[in-house]
Amino acid sequence: MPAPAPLIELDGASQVFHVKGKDLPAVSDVSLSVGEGEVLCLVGESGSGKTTTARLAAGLAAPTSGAVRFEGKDLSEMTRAERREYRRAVQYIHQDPYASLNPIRSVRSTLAIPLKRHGLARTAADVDRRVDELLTTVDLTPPESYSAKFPHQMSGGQRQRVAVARGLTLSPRLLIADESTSMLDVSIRVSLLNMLTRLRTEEGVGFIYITHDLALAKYFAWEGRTAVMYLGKIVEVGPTPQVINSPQHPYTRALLEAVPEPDPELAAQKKAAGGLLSAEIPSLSDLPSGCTFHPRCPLAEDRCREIIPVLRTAPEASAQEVACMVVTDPQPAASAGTAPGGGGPP
Amino acid sequence: MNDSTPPLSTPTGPQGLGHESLGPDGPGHDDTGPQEAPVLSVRDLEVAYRTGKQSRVRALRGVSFDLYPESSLALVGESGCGKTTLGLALLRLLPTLGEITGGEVTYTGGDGRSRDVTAMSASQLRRWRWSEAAMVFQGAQNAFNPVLTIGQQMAETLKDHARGGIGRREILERSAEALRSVRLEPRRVLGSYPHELSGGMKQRALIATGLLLHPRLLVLDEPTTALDILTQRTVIDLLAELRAEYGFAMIFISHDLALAAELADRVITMYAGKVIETGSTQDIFTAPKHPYTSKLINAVPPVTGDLPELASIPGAPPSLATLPPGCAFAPRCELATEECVQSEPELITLAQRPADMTHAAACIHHDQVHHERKVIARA
Repeated sequence: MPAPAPLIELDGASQVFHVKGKDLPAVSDVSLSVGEGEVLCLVGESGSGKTTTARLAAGLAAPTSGAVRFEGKDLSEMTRAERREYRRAVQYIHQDPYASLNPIRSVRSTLAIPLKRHGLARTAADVDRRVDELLTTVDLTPPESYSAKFPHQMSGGQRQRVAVARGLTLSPRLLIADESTSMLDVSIRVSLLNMLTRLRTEEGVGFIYITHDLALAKYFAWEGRTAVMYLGKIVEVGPTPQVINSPQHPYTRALLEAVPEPDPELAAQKKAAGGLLSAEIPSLSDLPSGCTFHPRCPLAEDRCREIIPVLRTAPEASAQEVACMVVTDPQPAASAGTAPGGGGPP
Repeated sequence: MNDSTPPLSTPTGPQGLGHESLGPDGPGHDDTGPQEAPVLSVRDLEVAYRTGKQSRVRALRGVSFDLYPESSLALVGESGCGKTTLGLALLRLLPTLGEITGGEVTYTGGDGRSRDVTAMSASQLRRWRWSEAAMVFQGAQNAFNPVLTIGQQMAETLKDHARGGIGRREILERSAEALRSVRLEPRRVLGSYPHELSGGMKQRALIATGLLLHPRLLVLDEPTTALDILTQRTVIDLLAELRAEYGFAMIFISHDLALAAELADRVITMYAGKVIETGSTQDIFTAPKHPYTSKLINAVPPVTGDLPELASIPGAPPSLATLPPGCAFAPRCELATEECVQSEPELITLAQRPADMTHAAACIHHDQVHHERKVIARA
C-alpha cells in the first residue's frame, strides 16, 4: 500500500433516526479521517451532530448509509476478532464525569475490569502495577492514595481523570473525547488537555475532540484539523490555524465571534450574538430548505433557500473546504439564476 | 492594617438592631461626595460551615468590598475558594450547615436607607429578596421546579415578594414584561414547562424571574456554564444590555475569567475564603499582581491572536479544614519563600482608584509578578 490507511475513516456516513414517523437526519454524508498521532476537532452547537458523528466513529452506532472503516476495514464486515481489536483500539471518553463512573466501584475496580477482560493483567500484582501506571499517567499521584477511592470521594476534575485513565486501560490508538472538559475549572481543563496532547505527541494516540468552543479547538488541535458541523453536516473543514484565523463559512465566523475572550479589549470588540440573525438552532425534524443555515445567516441570498451547498475549496483560503455558495461561487449583486455547476451535489 | 477600606467615607451599617432604619448621617453629606452610597458594603464577613458536633470550618475569612450602583463585579477563583458561599451569604441564602459568624453586609436602597442584611428577620428578608436583591442560581437545567410552568413560578415569586399584594392581571403583565426584556416570547414561554425550553431559554427565563421586581442588585452564579457558545454569547450580551436598561448592580460568580473580561467593571479573586486580589477589570487583566490571578488568566485559551501556552496551576485549593500556615496559596506558588509561610499576607494597595476600583493584592512578592503569556504560535 502506498500509504497506511487512517486509523478511522468515515466515508459519506449518515445517521437517520426515526422518531414518531419522522426522519431525523442527525448526521448527513460526513466524510473524515484521523491517522496515528493526528487530531481532529469537531465543533458545533448542541444539535449539530458532532456527538452522533463521534458515536459512529466509536462504533457505538452503525451508520444508516455510508461506511465507517478502521484501518481500512469496514466495521460492518469485521470478523469477531477484528471487532475485538477495534473495540480495544478505539476508546470513547464521555462528557460527564458525574454520570460516567459507576458509583459503587472503587477507582482500582473501575480500571481493573477492562484490564482483566482483555487479558492485559492476569494476576492481582499485574493489576496493581497497571493501575498505578495509569493513575500516574493522568497525574493522580501518588496512585495509592486514589486507587481505593470511590467516585463520590473525588472532585469533578479527579473523576474526569479516572474516566480518562479508564479510556487508557487498553492502550488505545484512538481516543474520542466528547466535551470531556467543559464543566471543569479552567486550570483542570488545561492540565487535562496538556496531558492528552502528551499522549498524542509521545505515544502517537490519535484524537477526535468534540467541543463547542473554538478557543479550545485552537489550543488542542492547532497541529491538526478542525471540522465545523451544522445540523448534521460539515460546513467547513481544514487545518485548524487556517479555520481559526481565516474562517470562510458565516457559521464558523459566528462561532468565533461568540467565544468569550479573556481580554477586556478584545471582548469589547465582539459582535452581538455572533452576528447571527437568530440564536436558536432549527429542529432536525423541520429542516430549512436549501442551505439549512440560511434562516440564521447574515449573508443569505435568495438562492440559499433553494440550493443545497456542497463542500468546495474556498477561493480565498485554499487549505479549507466550505459548504457555502456565497463564499465559493460569489455572484454579482443580483441574486438570480443558479451558480455554474452549483445545481446540487454532483 | 486594613488596606481594603476605601478612601471614601461610606456609611457604616446599623449595629444589628433588627430594625430597618438609621440611614446615612444626612443628605447634605452625601451630596458632597463624588459617588452615591454603595448598594452593598461588605465588612469583614465571616462564614463557617458546621462539619460535626463541635467542629466548624471557616469558609469566608474577613471579606470586605463595596459595590456601587450599576456596577458589575466578577468573583473569580477555582471551585472551593468561597465564591458561591459569598454570593449565598450576601443574600442570606446559606444552606443550614452554613452560618454568618461575623462582619456586616450593609444594603442601601434606592431611598437612601441602609440596613444590615446579617441582622434582618425572616419577614424582612422575604420583603428584601427579589424586590431589592435577587439571585440567579447555577445550573439553568435544575433551578426551575419541573412540575410547574414558567408562568406559575414567576407568579409565585411575585405573590411572595411584591410589596402590598398583587393582582392576577398585574402578575401577567409583569411576567410578560420580564420575559420580553430577555427576548423571550411571553405567549410561548409562560405556559411552558421547564423541559420544553432549551438550555439557553431556561437561563434567560431564570434571569427574567430575577428581574421581575426590578431589584437593585442581581447575583448570578455561573450564568453561562454548561451553555453552548452561541447561547453564552446571547446571555452575555443580554446581561450587558439589561444592566444598561435597568441599572442594577451585578455580582457574578465564575471560574471562567473570560466571562469577567466580557462583563465586569471590576474583579475580585478569591482563594481559600479570602479576597486575595481586587481591582478594575483593566488592571486585573493587564497587570495582575497576585500570582494566582495571573495563573488563572493564563489557563484560559484566547481565540483571537497568537496561540499562547496554557499552563495549569499545580495542585488543588487547600481544604478549608486544614489551611496551610501563612499564605494559603504558598504550597502551589513558585514565588513562595520562607516569609510567605510565616504569616498570612494582607491586601496591599497598589494603585488608588475611585469607587472601590483600587487595585490591591495579598502577596508580599507582588512586584515579582510579571504577567505574560508565552506564545507558542503566531497568528
